[in-house]
Amino acid sequence: MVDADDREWFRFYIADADGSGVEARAVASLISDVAELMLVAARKRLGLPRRLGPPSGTERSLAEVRVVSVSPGSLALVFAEPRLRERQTTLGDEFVVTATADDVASDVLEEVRLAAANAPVMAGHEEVRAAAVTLLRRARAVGTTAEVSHQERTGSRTAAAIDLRSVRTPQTAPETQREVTLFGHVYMVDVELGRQRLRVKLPSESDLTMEVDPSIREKIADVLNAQAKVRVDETLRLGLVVRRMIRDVSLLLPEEQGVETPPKSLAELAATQGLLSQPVPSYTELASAVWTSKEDVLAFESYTAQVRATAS
Amino acid sequence: MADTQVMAYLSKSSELQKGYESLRAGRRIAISFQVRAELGGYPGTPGFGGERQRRLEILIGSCVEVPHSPATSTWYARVTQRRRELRLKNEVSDGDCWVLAQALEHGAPLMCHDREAVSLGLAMGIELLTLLPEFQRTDETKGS
Repeated sequence: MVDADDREWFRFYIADADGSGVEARAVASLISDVAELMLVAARKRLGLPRRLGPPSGTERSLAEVRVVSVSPGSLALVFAEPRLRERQTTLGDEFVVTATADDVASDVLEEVRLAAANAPVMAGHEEVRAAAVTLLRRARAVGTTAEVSHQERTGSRTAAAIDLRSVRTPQTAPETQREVTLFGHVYMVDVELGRQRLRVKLPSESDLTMEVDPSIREKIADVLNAQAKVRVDETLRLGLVVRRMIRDVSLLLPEEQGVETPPKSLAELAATQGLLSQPVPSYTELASAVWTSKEDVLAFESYTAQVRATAS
Repeated sequence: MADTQVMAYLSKSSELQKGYESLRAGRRIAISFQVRAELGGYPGTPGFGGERQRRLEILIGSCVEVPHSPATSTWYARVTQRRRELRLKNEVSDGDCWVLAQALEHGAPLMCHDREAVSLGLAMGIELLTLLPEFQRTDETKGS
């Protein structure tokens, strides 16, 4: 029995070109792939960290799509909207609406479209893209073309035609990690179910907003609105930081405290030294007049290595 | 800011000149008091003086000289503490630490060509500008 809430909301259609039919197991896998893609997109939309266990109620509320029809032949999987259409995160008496199921479906459709076009993966979208590619690669075993569509509650419909033959594994650069120690003033950014972020204002006046490792949440209260030492795991791709996670925070010990900012900025020093009234010189010309040969440069390398080594 | 060695790499006689000029990106160079002292000390070595010493002073005079301040000491203590934690005491000199400390003090990017100093600087959140190959961005890995 199909009621008003079980109307077609999201459809994944695969044209079965050779008319050989679709194995039942393949249908089950495709349905599972769509459900997983919805969950991953919901998690991304809500800003939740990578899931390690079963989906939480938070994710399910936005992404638990329900199959309302399966049409064999040219396979059409039709899904109804999740029963809960808005995700509302709560904390104490606070009540914040952060996303709707339509938002998630739109994100899914867009990521599928980008995956089919082999477009570069946006930072932070890797997990969603991987789920989209998994779905499309499995669909490729069924047919050569597909269409994904989304009918919003407002009635507007969005669709994307897909050539499954062109789907490739997304190009991704390897990620590297490093641990960084920062010193700065710590502020709370937000507190949501499954998510906490801190903002650290560095002495250079720049701000960094970072996720907090769940295992250190009890320490946060001790360092809020205070100068602290912050241990951060940075994840880099192509030399750029794509994620930061705070691994530890602690108030500065007395021996770690002290004046942090210089009496004069670099610009003020430049002005004091009479440099601002002059154009930036050609350092190449000036340096070339000092070190006039490769031997000069090598000799200077030896000198600096010696000076720095013996200074320790 | 620029570390001592990099000042020589700005010379046309260095193969690294174009790379570091590119990293400098037209900006005026600032040098730590440590770098200033090391540059100033070089003409005293045998075979290096006279006219070249005068040219070196012109080069130094074209840079913003960053003096020691109470904040320098604060950051120096933090850098050396991190050096201990990373067990880099034998690899990163006190001179390196003073230069890193002043980059932190001023929140300035630092051109540096010393592997261990770059590692320590990165571990302190400094924006390091270097041509050392191990710190370069790698090409994308092709998917299947």
